[in-house]
Amino acid sequence: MSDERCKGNGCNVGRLPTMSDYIDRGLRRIRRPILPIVGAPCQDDEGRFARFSLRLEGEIITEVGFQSSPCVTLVAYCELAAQWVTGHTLPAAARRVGPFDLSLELPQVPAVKRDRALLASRALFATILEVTKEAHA
Amino acid sequence: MKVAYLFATQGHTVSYVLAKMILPQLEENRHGVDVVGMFFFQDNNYVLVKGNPIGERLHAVAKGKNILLMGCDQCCYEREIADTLLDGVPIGCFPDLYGALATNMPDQIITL
Repeated sequence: MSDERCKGNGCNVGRLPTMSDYIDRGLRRIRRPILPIVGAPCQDDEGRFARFSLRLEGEIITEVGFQSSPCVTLVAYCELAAQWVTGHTLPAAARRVGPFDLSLELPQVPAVKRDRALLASRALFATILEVTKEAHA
Repeated sequence: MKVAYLFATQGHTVSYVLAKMILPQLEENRHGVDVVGMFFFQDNNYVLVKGNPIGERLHAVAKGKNILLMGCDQCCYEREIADTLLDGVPIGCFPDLYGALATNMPDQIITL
């Protein structure tokens, strides 16, 4: 039973999502259409990339999408970031998703792969920056 | 000849083919070829968990013979063992495997 269904039944007890859950949800989110506000793609030294897109209603982020390289660790970090910022304002989202926050949330990721958290975080910040620039233009 | 093994099927692949054929031969230096890498899919990754008796033997041989051991990252995350693997054993996907083998490329890749 999913967390949502469990809460829907009034239980309020749901298991914490695992790394594998984030990967599965992330791989589904990648296939969704790109949303209206698209950030600049970010790339790391090894050629992996991530790019977020957002839908805003007023000042609230109502939907988040992303495209990324198929590295599952990166997909999991991007999915986690997407979940964390949905329902928040842009400033709150920027405060919420730092690379350390992401890597602390998924401690099972081996140290050599934690740099993917930085890439996910940078890509999300790039999108937030894009919106902020447009708002001030 | 240099070979790399992909442990893709389950059943007795690790407990029999690896533990009772390949590993003893490597330990006794009579395997017949140079093994440069081993990559593990699905439940085969449990052999790479710290404390696994087959894995510990394999780890010792791999260190001595410079054999790359790597687990499939998605398989390890799914089984929640990514942070419990033998010291220095990485997880990754095909690009990581090919990258790691690039400096010591096998002549044959054997899927078991």
